[in-house]
Amino acid sequence: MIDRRHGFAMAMAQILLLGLMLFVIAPASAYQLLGGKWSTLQLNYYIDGATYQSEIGSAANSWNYYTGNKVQLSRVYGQYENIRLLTANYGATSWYATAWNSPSFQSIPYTYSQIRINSQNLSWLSYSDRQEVVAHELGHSLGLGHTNLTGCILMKAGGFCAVYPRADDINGIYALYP
Amino acid sequence: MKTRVLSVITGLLCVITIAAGISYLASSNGQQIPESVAQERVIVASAKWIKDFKSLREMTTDSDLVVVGVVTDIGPSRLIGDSPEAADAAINAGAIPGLLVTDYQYKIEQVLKGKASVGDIITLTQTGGFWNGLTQYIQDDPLYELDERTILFLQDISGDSVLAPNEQKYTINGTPQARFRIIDGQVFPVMEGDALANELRGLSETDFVQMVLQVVAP
Repeated sequence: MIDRRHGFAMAMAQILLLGLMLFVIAPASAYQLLGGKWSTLQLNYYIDGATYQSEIGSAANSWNYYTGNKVQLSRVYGQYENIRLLTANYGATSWYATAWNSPSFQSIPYTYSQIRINSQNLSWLSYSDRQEVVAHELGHSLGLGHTNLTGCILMKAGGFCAVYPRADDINGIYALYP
Repeated sequence: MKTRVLSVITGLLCVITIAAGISYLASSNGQQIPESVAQERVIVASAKWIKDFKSLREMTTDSDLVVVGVVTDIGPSRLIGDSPEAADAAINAGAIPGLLVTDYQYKIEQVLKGKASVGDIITLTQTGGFWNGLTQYIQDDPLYELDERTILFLQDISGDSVLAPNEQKYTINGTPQARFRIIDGQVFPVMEGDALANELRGLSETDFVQMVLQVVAP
């Protein structure tokens, strides 16, 4: 009887221990990677268009600041740029902005990234929401994919709540660029 | 004997737990998004979508037109905001060309909401397309295919100065969440990964249509 109780207790203890280990080991992260990356995180960006320059600057600075300057996005005014942000009226599209990485999202290294911002759809957003859209696209330029985790800058749709990169976004950067 | 049996069960449970843990770790972190297209001359974008529907009711209520139908024709793609010469130069240089938009003819089989009739052919507009040997599309919203049968929740963009000046056109309502393929009588969301897609995936076409109709005319 004692053996039986002892065996049962041991079994439960082992299961609990393993479960606990898994919870400790298992990351809370939900970030997704596009499959490609840059060879460096010191990247130049160029703003093509007169509108939303301040929002774009704030978004770039937020990636620099919240990654502890692991990401170093610097604005250039004519020299070679790695990332080009174009703002134009693209009409009544279903999206606020898009990011295109070259040669492809899976490429290592990326050679170029282009972000297209639809001024028509951003016109009804607040400053901070516009900043969040740009920060989202810059996340793609850096190699991060969409996540469904609420509160992340890389949420694929709606839900303005991050403004600047959050822990999961930053974890993604550190995983991609160890 | 009982102790031995108990030990075996415990061992099995441990193995199952470890396997589940490894599986969880493999699936939850740093997973690469598969891309089903060849990289050569195919450019795929990622987008921040305008809308994020939490329910079929919300999506139905918010849409101008909800229809079942089929893509009958794919029009030529056109550039928005860039000249053809600049796009060609970009393609030849291996760079990223301008933004493409394509119109599709879509024949309505059933109207679930909105002003349209069965048999009408409407024009759908989608970002992406084909240009000089290059294919361009947005990751969550692959280009429509000929004979693709779908249930669509649409936004009327007629008169939009860029996409539909002096024309009647529709586009997907704020997110590819609003696009469902019908395959062998079952409904499949085009954009995966959110709770609504998980809820609706695999429903029969009949059940899905009934659910929409209940929202429109309860």
